[in-house]
Amino acid sequence: MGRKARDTPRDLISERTRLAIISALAVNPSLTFTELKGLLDATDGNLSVHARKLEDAKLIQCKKSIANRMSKSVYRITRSGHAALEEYLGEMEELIRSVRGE
Amino acid sequence: MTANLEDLENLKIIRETMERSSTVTSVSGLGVMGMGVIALIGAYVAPLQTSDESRIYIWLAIAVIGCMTGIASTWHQSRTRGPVTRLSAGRRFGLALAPPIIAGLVLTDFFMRQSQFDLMPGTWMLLYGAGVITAGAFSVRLIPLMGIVFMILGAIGLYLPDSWFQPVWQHMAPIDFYLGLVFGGIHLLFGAIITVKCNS
Repeated sequence: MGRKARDTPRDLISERTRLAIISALAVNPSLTFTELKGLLDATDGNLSVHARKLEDAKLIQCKKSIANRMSKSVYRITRSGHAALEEYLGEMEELIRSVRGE
Repeated sequence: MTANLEDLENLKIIRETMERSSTVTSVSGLGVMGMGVIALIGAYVAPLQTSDESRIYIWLAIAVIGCMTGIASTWHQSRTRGPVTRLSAGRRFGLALAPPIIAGLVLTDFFMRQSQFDLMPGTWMLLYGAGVITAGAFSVRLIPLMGIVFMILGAIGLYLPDSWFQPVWQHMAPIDFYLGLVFGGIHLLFGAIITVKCNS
């Protein structure tokens, strides 16, 4: 029983919540934790876990600050994150072409 | 086959998420500021006209140019974020803004026929505010807030005394300053805030 091989960026973003996080950040310069939570209709815990995984893989970055004594997390997609999403969309394009028989 | 269905489901997630979230910052702050500048030009040019009808036509032209600037800047802003967001943002913004604008045009024609020019500024602000609120339902909170400000100032505009419509300096009446302040100033103020807070 060896250790499970590290997930590739492509594998990481295949999970639906993470895919939604990456997709939302791909079309916005930045989004706060609260904005993401509202958009994805996710719980705090669920969003935190998945955002942390993407952050660890350097697909997104998080900047924390304190505003009005409240901590605020602002997320941005990184270049690697954009590349991973592009790669994933490229695969989807290929898939659609193959289904159409092109 | 299962994998394919899952992939197609994921594609749907990407599209829906991008559509939903694109509207968060799809309004261009610079575009809104541009609308303010156009309105200020209108506030300067309209009072130079000698008849009430000519003033209304100037304001209608300003409204058309302003709306086109807003739509074009929103389109441009969302263009940088791919075709999915471009279509959804433009469509939603246009669909939400159009009904109050059309209502405003119909009422303007009606008021012109009745020579009730004093009712126009307040009505324009009220209806434009309503349109901005509904269009802003898909955008940052600042947009509906801007709509609320327009509606409040529009409601005030309907109750202004007659003296506000009488020229006090050359052809300029206080209502001309009010129109410039509301349509010019509010757009400039909120456009600047949107540029700094949302588009940077």
